Amino acid sequence: MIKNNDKISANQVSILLFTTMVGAGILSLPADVSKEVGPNGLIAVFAGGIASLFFARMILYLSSKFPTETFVEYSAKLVTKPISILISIVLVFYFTIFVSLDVRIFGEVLKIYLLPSTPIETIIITMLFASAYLVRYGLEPIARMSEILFPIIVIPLVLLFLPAMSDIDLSNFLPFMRISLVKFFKGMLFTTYSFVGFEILYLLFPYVIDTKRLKKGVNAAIISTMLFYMYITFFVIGIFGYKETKEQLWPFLTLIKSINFPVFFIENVEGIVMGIWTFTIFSSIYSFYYFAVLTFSKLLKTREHSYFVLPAVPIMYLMALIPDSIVTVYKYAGYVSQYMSVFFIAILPILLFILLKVKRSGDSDEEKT
Amino acid sequence: MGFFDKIFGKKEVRKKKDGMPSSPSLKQNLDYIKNKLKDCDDVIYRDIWVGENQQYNLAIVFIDGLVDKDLINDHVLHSLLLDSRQANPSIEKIKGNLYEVIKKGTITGGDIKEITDLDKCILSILSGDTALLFNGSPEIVIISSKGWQMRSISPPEAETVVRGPREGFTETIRVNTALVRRWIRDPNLKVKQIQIGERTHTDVAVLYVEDIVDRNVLNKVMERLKNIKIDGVFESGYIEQLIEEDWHSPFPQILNTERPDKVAASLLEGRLAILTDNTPFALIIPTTLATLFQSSEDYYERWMISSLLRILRFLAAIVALISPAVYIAFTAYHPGLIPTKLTLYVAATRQGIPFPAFFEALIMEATFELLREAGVRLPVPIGQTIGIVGGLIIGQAAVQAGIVSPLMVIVVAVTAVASFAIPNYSAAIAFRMLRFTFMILAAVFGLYGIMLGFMILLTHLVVLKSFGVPYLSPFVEIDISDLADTLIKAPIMYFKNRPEILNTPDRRKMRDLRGEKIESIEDDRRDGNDKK
Repeated sequence: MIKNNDKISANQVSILLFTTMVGAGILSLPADVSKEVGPNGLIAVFAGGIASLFFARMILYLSSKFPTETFVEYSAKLVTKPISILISIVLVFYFTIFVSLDVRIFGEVLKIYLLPSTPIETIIITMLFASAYLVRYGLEPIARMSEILFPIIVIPLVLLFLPAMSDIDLSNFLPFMRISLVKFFKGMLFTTYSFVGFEILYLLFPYVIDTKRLKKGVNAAIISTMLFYMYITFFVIGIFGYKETKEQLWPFLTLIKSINFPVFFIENVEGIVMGIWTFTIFSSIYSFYYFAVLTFSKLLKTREHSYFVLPAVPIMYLMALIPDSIVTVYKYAGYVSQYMSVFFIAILPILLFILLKVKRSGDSDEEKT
Repeated sequence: MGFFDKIFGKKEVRKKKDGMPSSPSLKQNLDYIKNKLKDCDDVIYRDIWVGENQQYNLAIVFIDGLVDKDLINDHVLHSLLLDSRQANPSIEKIKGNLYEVIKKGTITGGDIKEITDLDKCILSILSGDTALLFNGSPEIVIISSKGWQMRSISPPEAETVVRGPREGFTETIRVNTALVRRWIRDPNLKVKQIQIGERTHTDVAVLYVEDIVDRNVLNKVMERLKNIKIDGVFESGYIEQLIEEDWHSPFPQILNTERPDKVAASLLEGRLAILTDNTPFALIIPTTLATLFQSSEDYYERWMISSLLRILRFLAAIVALISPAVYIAFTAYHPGLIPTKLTLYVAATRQGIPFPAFFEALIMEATFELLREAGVRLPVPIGQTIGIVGGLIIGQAAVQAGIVSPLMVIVVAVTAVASFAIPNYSAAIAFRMLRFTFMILAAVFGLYGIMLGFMILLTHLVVLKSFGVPYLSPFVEIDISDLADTLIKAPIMYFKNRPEILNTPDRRKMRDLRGEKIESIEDDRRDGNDKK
């Protein structure tokens, strides 16, 4: 049973989705899309957002058919129980991987920009413990935390880019759509890593109070994420051009470094951006962390998720340290987003959708006879 | 029969627990009281004989110093001993009915009640009432005669305002409830009084407006108050700590105030207030972080300046929280993140300072806390001297001696001033304490440490609740109309509803003035047309 105090509103779901999706991907997104689609990055992000919206709504539709159950429970009814358990285990693993990847990328960035002499292990473990502290208290505080962090993340980042407006060269977005569709779809695929996060909808449905408003909430969350990404991609590609963008690891940070604030006494805003970005990553980490732990506790049918919060820390810590360099981190991130994410975002919803329809028609057939 | 025995037996036991029933014999009653109040030399017993032949024996008992002597002399003794002689009721009427006659016709005191329980009688005497005992009847008349030396109403010291009423609560609960009543002349303003403290029997009043308050919160408060089993409560701080949700937290989950206008305004918002006898501090429930930054003056001044001051206060809280930590982080870890000129200046001023930035900051902040604490303890004139000696001379000498950098002194001073800009003292304490945690984190992890501190602090705050209301609301579980009274204070016309978070049954606070005006004008016109 779900306790009454663990329910959140549709608005909160909307904000939680946004803060979950906006995470480590924001740093490398412009470079990722530039690599494949060149000047059409903006359109690729847009297309990626629309596709994400479609699949998010599909997942939502699936969950709404089983309003009191999470994925772990309802998938058993659609696919058989052993397969459901298998998928759920992979889902736990999948969320855990995202925590590890995010925390590792966070550690790497922090090490380069802020703390060159601090060992990355310390950064990772402190971040994990800070997240564990929040995750232990459950969904309601997590949703509230996202509500607090949302304006802190969005407002400064939107404002910080404005002084760079005059440097944008619109010709950087030309030629318009002169690439093959296959390449474009591949580029779209590369945006997945940035849009990953709405899979939490698989599990979220039974915890929402006003489920009727959930559709609007999901729309708002994914469209605003898309616009936010497009805003950043617009500035990065607009200023650097796609050729320069794709050579960089984190074009987002390079752009921040290059912006000058003649009026402020702070000459470069790296410190501020690092602070905001810490929150951005934090909000993704705790969300993935919570849903990993929640899925696991649902698998074992325990009443409280909090038993597994602390034991998860060493696992995530060790997983975060597996890649030996930042290049390998992104290689793994690429694998995960191209195979696992595509499975969970696209293939699984379609599969479950078909199974649901088949089963429903089977049921009604049985009723008829 | 055994069944009934059980019930009656139980009832008898209960009655005994309730107290000692008084007997018709005056001597017996007096002996009981005297025995209970043995060795209490401040209790005064006065035997009175009235009647034509002085045949009726009465006694009054009160505690010297707690009662209004004039009231007893004029309205009890004078009436009984002198005025009653002038009246000439028939002896038959009086005979055997003395008690009724005296109670109804003789005593001119305003507030009297009768009881037949000696223990309750003793409690009333101890609270400052006067007991009038009769020979021949078990009833005891309790005359409300509380009147001790008390501080007169004076301006609240911790919450002064430029514009606004100058009244502050006093130490007497009756005066305090009256001060609130004077603001709200509504029969729905309820004052529920209970006594807490098995020895102190302190009067505690819960104030609320019946059709506005959230019943769940009220029940929760009453339940928690009734569950307090302690020998004594002193100051509302006792009650605050005994009924709050999370005692681990450095943040006050219950607001305290000395201002009746603030209490009245909170009551109309749908909160409830707890007044405690013997203290001028009222408690307001539920409290959120945003209310700690509200000063009652915000609502009396124009909205623009109030909004600016609100923003300033929130900034002040952040400055008080992290400015020494930021200093440590930037000097020790990230000199590259501040402008080159400033970096060079900081480096130059820190030349020759033997301590790392963290210890430098710790020494200065600890010194400042020391000065503040010493300043509180010292008598007012010397306290100021200490302020000057400590603040100016020690600061100056420390810089000249090369122990701390001048920038550090500025940081400490700014932090100190900022922490005073938070209107609520208890909230300011929380930020002052957490400052040291942030300093340690900054010393270990630099800027990341500060962010880490914020993550942990925010986690604590999002988990925290005050009587079921999230502590960070309305920033969480967002309601746009509630946000108008947080970081900014919108013009008063916008506060049409009570705060959503308080879950009040009657949400409307103000009707749409303009809409009503137009309606009434239209009504007038229509009436006019009809007449034509």
